[in-house]
Amino acid sequence: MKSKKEAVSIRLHQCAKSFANGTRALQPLDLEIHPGETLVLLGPSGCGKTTTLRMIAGLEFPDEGGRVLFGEDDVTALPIEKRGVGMVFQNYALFPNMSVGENIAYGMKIRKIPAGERAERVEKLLEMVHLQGLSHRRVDQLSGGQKQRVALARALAMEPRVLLLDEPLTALDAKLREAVRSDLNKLLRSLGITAIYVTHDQGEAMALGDRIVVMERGKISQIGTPQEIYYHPANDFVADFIGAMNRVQGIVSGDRLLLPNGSLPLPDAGNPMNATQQGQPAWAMFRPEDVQVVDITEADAQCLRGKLINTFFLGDRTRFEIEIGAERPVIAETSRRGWWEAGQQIALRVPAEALVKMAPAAVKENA
Amino acid sequence: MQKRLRFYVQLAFTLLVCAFLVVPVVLSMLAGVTENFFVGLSSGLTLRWVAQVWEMYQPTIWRSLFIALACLVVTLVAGVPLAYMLARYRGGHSRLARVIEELLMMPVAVPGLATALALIMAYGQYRQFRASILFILVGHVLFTLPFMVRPVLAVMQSSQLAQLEEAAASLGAGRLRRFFGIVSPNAASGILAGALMVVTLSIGEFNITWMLHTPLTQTLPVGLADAYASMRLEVGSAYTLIFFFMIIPLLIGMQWATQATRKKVSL
Repeated sequence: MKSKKEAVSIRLHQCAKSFANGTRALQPLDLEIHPGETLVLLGPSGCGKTTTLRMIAGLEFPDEGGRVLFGEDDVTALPIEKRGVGMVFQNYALFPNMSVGENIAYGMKIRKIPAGERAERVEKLLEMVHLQGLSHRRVDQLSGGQKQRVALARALAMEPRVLLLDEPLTALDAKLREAVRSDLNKLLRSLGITAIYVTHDQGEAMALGDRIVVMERGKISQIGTPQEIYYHPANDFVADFIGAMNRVQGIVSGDRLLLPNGSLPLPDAGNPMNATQQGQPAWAMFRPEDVQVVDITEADAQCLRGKLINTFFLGDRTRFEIEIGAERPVIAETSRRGWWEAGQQIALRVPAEALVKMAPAAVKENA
Repeated sequence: MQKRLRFYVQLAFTLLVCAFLVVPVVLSMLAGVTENFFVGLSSGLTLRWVAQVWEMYQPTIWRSLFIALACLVVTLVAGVPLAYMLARYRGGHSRLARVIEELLMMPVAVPGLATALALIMAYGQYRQFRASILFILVGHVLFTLPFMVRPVLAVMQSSQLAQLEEAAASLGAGRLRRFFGIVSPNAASGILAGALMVVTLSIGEFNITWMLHTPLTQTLPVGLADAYASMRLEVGSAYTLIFFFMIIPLLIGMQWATQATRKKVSL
């Protein structure tokens, strides 16, 4: 079921949203979504991601001065029923008074597509979401995963210009979530439709998004590909929100960052990541999986020394918490079969290229 | 041992309370089929009084049923869209909507006699209207409308229904189509609950009707008062008996319908 229509771009121009009681849910926001792209809006609850989605959908309208454009069309004043969007909701929002087939055909019926063609397309759509033959089922006879597939088929039935997904997997249990996510990913790629996906789950965002918009308190913190967001977080919030992050403070000395129990190598002075000054305090951040745990007997001058305070066996990997005399213990993850035990002295090594962010200590935030 | 004793004491108390409530009903029904209530059951059972009531007051029974159904139609046509509007106006955060909701309750709080008096003062001079059954219908609608609006409003304010409506809108459905195709069918449990209240209240309504009625627009409860006041006690009781036979199947039927919808549409 390839979309016959050209994928459309979406632009938000200075879209702010204040609610009746005066609270500002969204600061003025500019955002461009490329044709055919899957963009994920990611952030904790209350960050404005759902409000942004609802503004694109036409369920909320931006404050005075904001504009929403689909391609060249200004749709700012249009209500949702005139925007030609498909929408999938967290709680499925299937019509309980209709069968599966009637749900999927609802939009086609409104557009007065003849019954024969409707039935044919319903079958095709059901096939697309792997639910062949369930057309006559009642909605309450479906499992959660099936319901969300029906909701997806219903949203795609009219070949919308834009597909909007509001936490569509949140109501499903973990196993099912993986399966539906993988299907959804394939489907979005094959349809080439412009899609906007709201979630608070960073794993989902990484897996599905061509680009991710990380939002915090009504503002965009960072826009980028999953790799950019993960390896080059724009600020502390993004760094902490996406995956686990170690953060240590030391003094810059030559090409190394000196810490109480050893040192870390710094990237070359020319590296844009390295905004530090000689002899000054600075922060360094690195991911747990980039930490190499070394036995204390093999430790050299390049290592950081500490005491293993906790080990967690996670099956595919082991997580260590290592006390290095800093504010917070360093977390290290390795898939190597560990033989260290809590209480042991241990050493760790972090390659210079693994430092995701360097900041002078004085300007901790939003460097 | 003590536990058992407590159980029996509680049981006895419960039965006593039940008896207190049920005995008058049974007594009244029995009176309606007793030859002479003052002599007692030994005077023999008869359907004479029931037949007499049926003959004399039959029109009031049909009239009451008619008014109840007409009242149901009016409250459905006016109340369901009103509830929808109250739930959706300004995204459901309108103070005006809350005020209207409270105003609707006024005829329930204000004594029926006062409502009726106001109606007579305002519209009494329109003789034909005043003398018609419509005049009573107006009183009943005023009184029963909040009982339709309230339960429907409660369902329509549910976030699930709001989301169903958003989903329908995303598929291109305009407001009218959403109201009839999505909102109303899925608010059926609230609508039926309201309908049950409206019919029950209308059939039993006495205060307003007593003030508004003319000899030609007597309803069942007014006729009942008439029978109690001017005829043998047995006749009045037979009237009650007929009322029971009329209202109980109706209530059971509507209760059943409400249950059935609730099971079908689980909102």
